[in-house]
Amino acid sequence: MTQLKFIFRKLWRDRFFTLLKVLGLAIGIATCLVVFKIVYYEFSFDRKHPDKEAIYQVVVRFNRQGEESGFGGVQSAVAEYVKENFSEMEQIVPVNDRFFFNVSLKRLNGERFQKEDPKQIKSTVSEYFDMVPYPWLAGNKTTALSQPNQAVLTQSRAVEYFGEVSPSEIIGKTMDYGGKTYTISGIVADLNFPSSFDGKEFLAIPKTEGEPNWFSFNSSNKLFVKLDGNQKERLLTLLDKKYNEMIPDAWKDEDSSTNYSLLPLSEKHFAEDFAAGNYVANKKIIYGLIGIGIFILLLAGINYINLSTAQIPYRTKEIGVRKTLGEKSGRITKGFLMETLVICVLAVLVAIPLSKGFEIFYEDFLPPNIGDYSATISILIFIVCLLITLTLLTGLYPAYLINRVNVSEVLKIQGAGKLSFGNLSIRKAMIVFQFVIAQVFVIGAFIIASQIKYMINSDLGFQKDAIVNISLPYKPYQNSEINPFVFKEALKKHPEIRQVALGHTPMNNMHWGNSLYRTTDTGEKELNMNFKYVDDDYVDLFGIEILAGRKPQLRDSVGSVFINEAACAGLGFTSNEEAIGETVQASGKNITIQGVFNDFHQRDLHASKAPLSLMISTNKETLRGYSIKLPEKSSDWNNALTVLENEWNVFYPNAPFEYEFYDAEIAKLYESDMRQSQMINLATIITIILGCLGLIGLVTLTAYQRTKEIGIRKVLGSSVSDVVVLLSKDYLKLIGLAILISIPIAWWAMHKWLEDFAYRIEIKLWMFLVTGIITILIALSAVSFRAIKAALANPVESLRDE
Amino acid sequence: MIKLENIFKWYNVGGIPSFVLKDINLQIEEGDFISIMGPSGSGKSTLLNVIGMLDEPNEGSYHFMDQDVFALKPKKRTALFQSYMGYVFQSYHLIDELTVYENIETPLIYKNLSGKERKAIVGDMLDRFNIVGKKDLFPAQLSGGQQQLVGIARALAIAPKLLLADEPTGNLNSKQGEEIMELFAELNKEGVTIIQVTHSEKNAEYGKRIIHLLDGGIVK
Repeated sequence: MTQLKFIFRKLWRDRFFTLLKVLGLAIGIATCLVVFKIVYYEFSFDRKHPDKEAIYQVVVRFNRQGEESGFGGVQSAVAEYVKENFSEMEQIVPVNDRFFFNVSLKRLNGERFQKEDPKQIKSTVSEYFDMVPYPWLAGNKTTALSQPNQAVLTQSRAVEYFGEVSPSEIIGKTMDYGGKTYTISGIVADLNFPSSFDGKEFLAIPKTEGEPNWFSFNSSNKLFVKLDGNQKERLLTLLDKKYNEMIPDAWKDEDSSTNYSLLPLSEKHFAEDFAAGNYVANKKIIYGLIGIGIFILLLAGINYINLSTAQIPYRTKEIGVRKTLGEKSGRITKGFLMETLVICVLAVLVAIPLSKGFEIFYEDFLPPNIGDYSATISILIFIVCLLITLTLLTGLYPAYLINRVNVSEVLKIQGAGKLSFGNLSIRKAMIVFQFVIAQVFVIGAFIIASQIKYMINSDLGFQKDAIVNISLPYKPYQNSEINPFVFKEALKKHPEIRQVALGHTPMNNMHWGNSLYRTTDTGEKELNMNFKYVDDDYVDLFGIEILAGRKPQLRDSVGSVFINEAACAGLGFTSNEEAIGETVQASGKNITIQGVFNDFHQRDLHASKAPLSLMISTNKETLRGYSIKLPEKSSDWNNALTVLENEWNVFYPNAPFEYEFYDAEIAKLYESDMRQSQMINLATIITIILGCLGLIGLVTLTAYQRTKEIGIRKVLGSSVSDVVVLLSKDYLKLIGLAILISIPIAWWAMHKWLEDFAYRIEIKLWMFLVTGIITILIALSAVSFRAIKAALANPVESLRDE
Repeated sequence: MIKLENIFKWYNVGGIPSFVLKDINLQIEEGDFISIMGPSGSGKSTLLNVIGMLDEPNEGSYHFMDQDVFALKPKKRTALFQSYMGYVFQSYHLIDELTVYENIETPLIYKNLSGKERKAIVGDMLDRFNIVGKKDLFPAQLSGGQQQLVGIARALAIAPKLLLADEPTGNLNSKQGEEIMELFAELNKEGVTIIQVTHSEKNAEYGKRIIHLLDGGIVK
């Protein structure tokens, strides 16, 4: 107790340093806490399934001319076939994704409830509930899905749909799924652990879910089996054989193969190829995250060691006195470790709200649904382990140094010592190390930000400003039958609206894949590419350039195609003009090339420009959406949007008016890049803060140590700025060294990162210069705050003799 | 009680040994009061540190209470120190973060005395030096003389047989210095052996014996 009191007194006396130490460690610990939570969540997926070793997902592995790929969905006929031929298998559970326009129901109090586009609805069989151990709140597990039109809800959905009523009251009530009535036959509690079985509503598989077939692999149809290890071989051989019997001979190919495979449930969460709509995690990213966590903790630890070793000269007197009073070195070590532990505990107390704050501000970084499962006990264990490791790791070296204090040396010195320890070079090395890391992050953040800015601002080959997009309603009760061209004409009457076009927007993944065939003297040439279906005003609205031929017209919807330059070259035309009027084949029909347009970007700048065809269409099913050009001045947009909404409500009274600015939509393509960038920015800020905390601490000590020297220099006529330079010079040299070391590392890392982009900025020397100057300025301001304070001190004070 | 034989201590300055202590032979009996005098750099403090086992000579032998000190293991040496010696410094060397009470208590904690025993001893010391009212103050809140009183109280708390004092009055004004010296004389009468290093002739007179050091050797 006395010792604890003593420690707190000392920490309070050196509160500035205590603050630096606690803050540094807290940042490191908070980072570790967030990383641990994420990693623990991802690795706890499916861990608690009682039969996780025996449950497998039936998946498919394709080999197409040596290119391997995997798929998690199977053909709709597979489940039935396995059932017929494997009666001895314990569980055969098809889990099919179901999509409905909406669900609606009447609550117990008579109120109507409706939800648009409900998610996580599966159709499956009763055995599903043997495989996945839901606690049953109402209903009977074995019969719940035995009849068609039966439905089982999880508790969370039951509460959402029916409100807070007891589960047994809901049994027997009916719900409407996209126009079909289902009777609720069971309520189960939600799983209390993260699971790949993410369904929330379960329906019996209807007889009419489509003719079972062997031809189409569908990610909506997943099949899980529980079996003995020795049954695997027979199942896979049987399935492969059956598949080969069922497909037409024309599909068979020497260089390609399709094989069934079994994916253990315990590996499912990290099998991205076989996700088929399930939430999966990338192990590489997880390990990267662990790496970042360890790194930042390491930096925080170094920061602590740095600050506490720097303080040792001020403690030598105390240690010396204690030794003359008979204290043993074991006790000194213990005392110091105790002090470290106290600081670590304080840091944890600061870190917990810090990590909570992070989770709120950066919710997007966290895996979905992580908040649904509590991991308090594991986190507590983690914190305790972290505390012990951190205390030992950061406390032992300073404790060792303290024990080396030479008593008779120390006691000779009056007041706080000018003692220097042999570990100065170690301390310098630590500062350099910290700033190398920080500088690599600074350069990385700068280059990533530049690349994203470049991608968003670069000329895409079409115009994207002042355009809003609205999807065509497709649900029958939202007036999907309306001819979009009628709405378009209605809009065009308004002067506020500059242009209207229909079709797949230029840059996104809306397109069809197909091939164009061209017959030449030397034979047939095939070019596979994307096809976008658009109307006649599309080219004008997006400012796409026609390089040869003519602009599209409505009559081009039959027998015409417009291709870009890349497609033109790909088909073997020597010039754009040569292609005009030529006949090519698509889907077995002859079509004529009417125009060649510029290669605009169809994908984000990760991908290079590819061949593309524009097909003119009047079919509302293929056109997908409206693109509407607003007035040039953004101040007129509100007005135009009001006009648009009024018109919309006339034509589509039941569909929500939801529009999106096209430039914002394009920026969204870079969401994952921006997220990466935000992550790096955060890491940069953290490492810089840690580095500066260390610097501030060391400069404070140097200034204190040199108080007398500074006083003498000032008496001799030195100016304040001279003193600041004197104190900062050494540290700035170290930072300069760190910046030099960081350049090759950062260059290599960013070079690798940029390789992912087909269109990228070049890494230039000035980028290293600018980031270097930024870091030096930051470090300088951290250093000079303390240095100026020391320089301004009145020399009379510091030179007064005792 | 103390027997020093042929004690040498030197530093190598540019390859040439520079002697701090040169052939010191000294015998001190129990109940003695020795004053060591000499100009700056004559080796007074070093000699005191050697006696106090804070420093080791390069050559020579040292017997304390008939034990060969340099042959002892560090642990034993600390134990010996703990049970027989108290140290008083010129600049007091109180622990800044501890109160007067806690400063006096510290050596007792190291001797593993129980809380009750410590309380009794510290209480005695506070009484004896008339500083009961100051027990919850920190060193920085005391005058130099008061700090030195605490320093002496702390040294005496373990009831040492030998009190080592390195310029105990060096930082005090003459009146405070005189009081400390009176106190030393009184302690000596009670049977405590005292060795003090001092600059002042007047203070040295309190001792029963004066040793003059010059350039590391005893002159008389």
